Amino acid sequence: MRRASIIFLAIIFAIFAFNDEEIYKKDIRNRLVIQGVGIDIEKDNSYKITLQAIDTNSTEASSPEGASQPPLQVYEVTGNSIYTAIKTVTESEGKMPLYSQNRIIILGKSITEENMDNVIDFFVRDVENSSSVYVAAAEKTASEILNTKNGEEYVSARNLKNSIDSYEYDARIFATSLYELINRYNSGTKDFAMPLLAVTEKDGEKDVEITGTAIFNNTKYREYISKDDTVFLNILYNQVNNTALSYPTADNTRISLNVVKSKTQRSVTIEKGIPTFRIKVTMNGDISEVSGGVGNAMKNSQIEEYKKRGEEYIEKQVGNFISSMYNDYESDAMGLVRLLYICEKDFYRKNEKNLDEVMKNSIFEVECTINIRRIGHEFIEL
Amino acid sequence: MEYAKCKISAFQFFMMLFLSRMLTTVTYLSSYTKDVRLSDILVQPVFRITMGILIMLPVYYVYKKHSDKNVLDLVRERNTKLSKILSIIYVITFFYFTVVTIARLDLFAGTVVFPETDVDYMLTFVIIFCCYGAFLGFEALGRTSVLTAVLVIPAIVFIFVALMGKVDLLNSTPIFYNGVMPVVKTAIDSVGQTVEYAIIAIALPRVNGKVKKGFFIWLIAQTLIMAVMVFFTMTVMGNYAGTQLFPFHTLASLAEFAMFDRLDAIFTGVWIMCAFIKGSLLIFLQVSILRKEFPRIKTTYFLVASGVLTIISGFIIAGGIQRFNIVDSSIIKIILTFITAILIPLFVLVFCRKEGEKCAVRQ
Repeated sequence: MRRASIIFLAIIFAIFAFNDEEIYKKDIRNRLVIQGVGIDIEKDNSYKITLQAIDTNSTEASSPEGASQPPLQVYEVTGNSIYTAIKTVTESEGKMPLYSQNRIIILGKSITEENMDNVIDFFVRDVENSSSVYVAAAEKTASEILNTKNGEEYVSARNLKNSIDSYEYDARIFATSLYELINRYNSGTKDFAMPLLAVTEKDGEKDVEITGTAIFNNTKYREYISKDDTVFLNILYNQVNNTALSYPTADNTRISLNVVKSKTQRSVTIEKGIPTFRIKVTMNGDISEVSGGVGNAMKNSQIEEYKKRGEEYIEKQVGNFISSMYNDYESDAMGLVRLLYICEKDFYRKNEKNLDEVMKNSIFEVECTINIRRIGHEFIEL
Repeated sequence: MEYAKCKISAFQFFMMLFLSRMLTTVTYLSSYTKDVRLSDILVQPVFRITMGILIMLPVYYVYKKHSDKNVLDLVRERNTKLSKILSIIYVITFFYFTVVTIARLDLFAGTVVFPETDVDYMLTFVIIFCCYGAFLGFEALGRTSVLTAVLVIPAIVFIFVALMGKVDLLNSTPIFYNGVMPVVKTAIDSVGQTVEYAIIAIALPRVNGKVKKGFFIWLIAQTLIMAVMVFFTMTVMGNYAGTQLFPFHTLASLAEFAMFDRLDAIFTGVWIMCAFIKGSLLIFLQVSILRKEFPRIKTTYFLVASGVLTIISGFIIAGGIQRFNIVDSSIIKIILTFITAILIPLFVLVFCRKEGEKCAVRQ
């Protein structure tokens, strides 16, 4: 038994000893650690890939003093396919790209308006891509976004990822991961949404910001909605965790509500041959600000009034939003068609080829209940 | 070492089978999730449990009459030539499943874990470990299985907990949207890939304790865990699952819990540990069957031969995806499982009865 164990261990050591080259290949200094990938289409139909990567040659000593992030490099390459283009970086830099650490994929306008079908396969098929990487649309080109410098430093892909991450605290931001995008891409309607990035300039300083949400219809970019409207998209997605809402009352007092919890329940029934969608929004929130009323005591009737106005506001805005999505943009980015498919499969099967018309003629009943949890430091007048 | 005689408890045995089956579950390829819908999964365990019970009926009757002998022992007592033929069929079955397990591990390691690296050395490493496990014997494997299960089960539960927040029922589908047949077909496909039924037919006499109870708990547990895994796959990833070669691995990579994320590393660990248990068990069974049929040849020779053949076959099959697709066919698995888990035990039942009648007439 002892002899067998020694032979066994010797074989294991031998295998490791003969594979030191494989271990060397994994050395991080020999890799180009990709942080952001931007894709555009050139006029000659070739792909222009912009890669933002960590400069692994720079040591801490050579980094600029007080730098808030590791030194970044931006590479621009072109090729007939995304894969061949990315591989060209190896020729120029002598390093293999490592894009499992990629934070964001940015699609330029030339891609989102026409060529999504040609791009998506690479990100699904290539195993190094992380399924949870964020996908965003660029207002103009992806190259412009990843090349933007704020002062001396590039606006990093990591910061852009952090901005999208803030959807958890701010429903004005919409987040789409790669797996969510592909899930919607392969669904019946192929309608989806993703954050829209644009370069902004203020006092001569450039920056990249999320300016709204890009809405897609049948895989093509259709329109963008503002950040304020994105709140309603997130409500319909049941993706609101924590956000601020601001709405007017009848006397034009503006109420700011800090939503701490929100839940959206969706259901559909077929009534007289027409789908009737019922959307029930339940929110818990704190009143954080009441314009023009410093220090005034708040009566229960006032709180009830603010709550009622908030509910009416949500019901009206969500209703308008749905109507404009189906009538103006013909997009099911909210996924209500999927609900029809699950709950009313026979109706769905019968109308599968005519869903745009079906959704335009559908009835949407939105019901909102707001529970005012706190009203801040103001006291309640009984 | 009494290589052929040691016994383990029912708990250890079914824990070993649980891990072995777990490997099949976590390595399901995406083709599995294409036809099956969420609502269908709620029905599928009923099919699978019923089929599992039916498959095991012949083995159960053999075991009930001769609890200290397996199907091959019973034939060997009556006809040594026939027992050699049947033994070869079992050895081929176990060898085939070992090779497929290793080839799948190669596909997984070469595609997902180290896509740019030649993983042959890692597979050689795993097979050597499996041979070593088989060399240590049934008892050692039983004990290792319990220890491994203590690590694997909490890891899987942790992944499920971490995925709770990502469940979206809107990714589900209507009941029987594609009809009943895909559900039945997938259930047959899944049950047909269960080499554990053949393992039970051979290894049951080596098990002490409440075998029947252990079998039912094992059958229900492995069916339910499969259902839970597919439930999370469908509700978290939706249509994306169909685009992934190893959807359960992708699922684990999406799991997040507090400061922990990308739990695919846990999944990879689970896979390798289960592969070790399954590989060791299958090699052990091949060697112990051959040892009984050819007692003059040393156990070590069988072990080395099995290990070398597995390495060579594994590399040949895993070297090309087309070869892998042909060999890893569910039809081959269903045929082998049908022969070894149902047909041979049924034949042995009839054969022993006839031989018994002849004996009685002679007496």
